[in-house]
Amino acid sequence: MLVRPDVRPGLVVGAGALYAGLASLTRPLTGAAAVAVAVPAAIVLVRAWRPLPPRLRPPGAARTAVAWGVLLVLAAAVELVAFARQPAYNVASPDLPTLSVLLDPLTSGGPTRFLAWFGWLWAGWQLGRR
Amino acid sequence: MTARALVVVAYVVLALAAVALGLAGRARRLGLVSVTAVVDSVRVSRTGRLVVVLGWAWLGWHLLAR
Repeated sequence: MLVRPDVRPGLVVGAGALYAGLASLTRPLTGAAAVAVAVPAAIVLVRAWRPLPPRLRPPGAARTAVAWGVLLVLAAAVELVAFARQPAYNVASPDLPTLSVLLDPLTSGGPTRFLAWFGWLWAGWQLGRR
Repeated sequence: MTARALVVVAYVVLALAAVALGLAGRARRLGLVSVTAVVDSVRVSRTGRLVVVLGWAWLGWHLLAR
């Protein structure tokens, strides 16, 4: 079905908000929440597999990527140490909280969980675009 | 300082560094470019796209599903 180009962004935002609304009703650590993440992840993964037209890398992109890479490695190291010190996979350590534990008050329910879902879906849509 | 406080401080420092990097990139300072430009340049290759998408998927699973 063809959709007019000027209507398409509104449809995408509406569909994203609807999905985020439904997904934010799922509770963390449940199969429903895992499926709600897996469905858009699979769609974006398929879209990312398609070839893209060649593009030029802007000057400074490599240097910026290295800087962000260092930051991500450091964040991953803190996260891994905290995760490794947990008493069990799904039991957080109060002494060494992971990022998800610290953000739990925002991502576990309510309007902020909806916003987190919507933001994550928006980022995925951007990654899947051509 | 407790271990918990140390972890929180580490995350706050990393978040501030990320904001500084983002702002420097947007302003084209220090030879840096915006996050969007970096992600777009990583997405040039299929491998880069898959790595970025897997990172995004992990973040969603980590923050929203577990």
